[in-house]
Amino acid sequence: MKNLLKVKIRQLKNSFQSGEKGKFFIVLALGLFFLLVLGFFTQRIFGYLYQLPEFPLVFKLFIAEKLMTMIFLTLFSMLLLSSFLASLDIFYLSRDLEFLISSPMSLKTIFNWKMVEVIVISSLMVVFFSFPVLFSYCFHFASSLFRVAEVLLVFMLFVGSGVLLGIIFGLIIPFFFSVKRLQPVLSVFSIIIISSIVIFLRLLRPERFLNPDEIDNVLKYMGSLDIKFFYYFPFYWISRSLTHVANGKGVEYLKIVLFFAVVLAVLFFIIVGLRKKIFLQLFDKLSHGGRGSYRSSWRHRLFTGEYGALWNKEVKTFLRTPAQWSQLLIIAALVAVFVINMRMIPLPHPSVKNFVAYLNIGLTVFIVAGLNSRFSLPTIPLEGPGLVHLLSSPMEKDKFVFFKWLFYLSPQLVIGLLLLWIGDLSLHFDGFTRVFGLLFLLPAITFLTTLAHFFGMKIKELSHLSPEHVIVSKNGIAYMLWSMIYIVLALAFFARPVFLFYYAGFTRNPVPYAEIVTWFTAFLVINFLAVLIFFRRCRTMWRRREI
Amino acid sequence: MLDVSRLIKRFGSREALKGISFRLEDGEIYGLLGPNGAGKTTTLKILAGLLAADGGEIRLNGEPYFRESSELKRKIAYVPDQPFLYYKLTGEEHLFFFAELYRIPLDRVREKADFFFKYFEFEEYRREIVEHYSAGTRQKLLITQALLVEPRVLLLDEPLISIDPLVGRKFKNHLKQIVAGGTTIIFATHILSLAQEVCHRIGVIVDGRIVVEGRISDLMNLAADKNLEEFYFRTVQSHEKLA
Repeated sequence: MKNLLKVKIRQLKNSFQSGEKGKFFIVLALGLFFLLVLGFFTQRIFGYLYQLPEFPLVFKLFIAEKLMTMIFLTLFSMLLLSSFLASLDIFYLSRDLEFLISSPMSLKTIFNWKMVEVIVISSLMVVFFSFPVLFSYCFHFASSLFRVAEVLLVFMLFVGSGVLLGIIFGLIIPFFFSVKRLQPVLSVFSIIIISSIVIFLRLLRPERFLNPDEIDNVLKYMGSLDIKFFYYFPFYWISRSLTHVANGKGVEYLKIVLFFAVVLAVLFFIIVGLRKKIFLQLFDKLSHGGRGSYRSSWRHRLFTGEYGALWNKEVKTFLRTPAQWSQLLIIAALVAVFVINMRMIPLPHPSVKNFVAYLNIGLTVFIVAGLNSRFSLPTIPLEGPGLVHLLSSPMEKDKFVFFKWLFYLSPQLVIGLLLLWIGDLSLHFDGFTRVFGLLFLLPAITFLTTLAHFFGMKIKELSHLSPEHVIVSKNGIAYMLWSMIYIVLALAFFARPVFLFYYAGFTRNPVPYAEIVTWFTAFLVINFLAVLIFFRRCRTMWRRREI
Repeated sequence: MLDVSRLIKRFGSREALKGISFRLEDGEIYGLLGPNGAGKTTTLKILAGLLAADGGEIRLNGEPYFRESSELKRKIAYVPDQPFLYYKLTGEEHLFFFAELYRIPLDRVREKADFFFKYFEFEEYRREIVEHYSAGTRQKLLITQALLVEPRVLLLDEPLISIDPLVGRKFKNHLKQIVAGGTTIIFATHILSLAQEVCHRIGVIVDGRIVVEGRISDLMNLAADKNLEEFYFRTVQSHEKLA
């Protein structure tokens, strides 16, 4: 076990020394940024709740408990799913297993080591995101050192229960299904659950918590949140125990901790039993993976020739990579939240509507920038080893660049227009906003897609990469930063003509159309030139590409 | 006819090819031998259009050949030394995709694919995605893909790695057939017995230069070596010392 740990540390050191230092610091900086943002919001929420003069402490703690239940429900789902998937991967599919099992090391040591790997990998993110939440909670409701220790203890037990439960599922499931086929399906399943949680949490309308004017409704709301079914889950136990910590009810707290400990012990012994009874047997089963049969049709519906071949290849590869298409579900969930948000935004005065519409169009561009980061940016790096065939084939090089660009631009233009239309339906845009939306969205989406291709083209690895790997690469992060800068600058650019139009209406002066048209034209020309420059650079890079 | 003259390739400050020249007639199999890093794969990659040469000239049937020459590239096919494939396509789809980049009609591709799936004994993997293939099956697919487009110049970089001897023999027999039809083959390999069996001529590359070239029997007679292995070791060692 000690040797395996040494090897792991050595591998980390080597990858750190061999040029991954920069990436590490960028990821660290981004992580800290998210941590700060999350910390800021939770601090504001708990701070606001704590200071509400109308509410007695008991009621504040009750609201805090319900909030924490929602947060821990999300974290528990994350824990369960990530440890489930990590278990399948680490216990049955990791590359070093054959080497380890053929070594003289005992199976118990190997298994324990793999379990440590699963625990660390699957709990890291949850611990990271929980930190600001727990900090804010302790800061307002459990500020003494002893209480903080109590909170941390119960949190560790919570994490342990989620991870161990996930490990049990992960160990058992290959008994019924082939892991190689199951893993992509489970990835999709996990994404469906995450998407559902996102929508579920939004539909709960947590903003109503903090509105003291709606006290009757809040009470009703609290009642509806007190779901008996939750009593059987660790996310409820931990929220309850935090309330006991804040109330100073040591005995009640200890009861929950003891219960947690017993559950953990039971889960651990189940895992030990599974190790002895089925682990090796299931590992053997993996070596005899069955062969499936795919629909191998190669018909051209939209294009022929090289474009047809590229189209078929792109569509088939996309549909057969669950990690790719399943992301569409998350996007659908985000769009749903976007729509729900718009329907729920209070508009105190009709004039605010124009400002909300303006921001809404800006938000649409942010969504498209996210789509580009997930789909357009990795598309060329994800070709991986297939680039050898593309570059050695007689196909004209420019055709490939043009195809990729168009393949990812077209659906995003449609999504952009769809979001604009949804915004129009909800906020009833006026004619000017519609024109502004079209003249801003279409060129902006075109530019963002081109920019994503440009940064994707700069990634020169030939191995099989995952989209996540590409997104957090130096070029992926650069794309994110530059796209954000572009959107902010573009919104600032349009602030002037938008202001001119509405100010003229407000003051009942004639609208200065000539100036507004000049601003719009300037944007279109600058944007067109930017698209042209980046597209040409992209093409040149591809022409000069060597493998 | 393929004419390569004074080919130069630099990677930063390192000169990987230092003026490689050879000339191949139609229907000739030419073996490129040499130690690791000598420049065999680099030479093949330049011919396949994956790398741009920094100097020298390539002519195919008298016409100058560049990376962008689509028409000439249609006559060349390349089998890389690693299983560079799209893992999410089935074997059959991979062949269709590749053939369409060469603008070969799909009916003809289907017919030839039927033949090769049976000939190289991997018919049962036809509708399976490449991700689930063994190393040998992936190699069979790469070879099939290259043969399918009926190239005039076939570039093979260690093609028989991971292939079982029975299919290996079928592959060698097929090479003899296509060579009889006028196809030129360049074969980079470390397997000396294979080079001896298949190649009409060989060139030994050491440190980016072809140091010896000719018919195997002539070279061995000249050097009074008993076998190709002895000849190869002596040649490489003497030139490495010089380098």
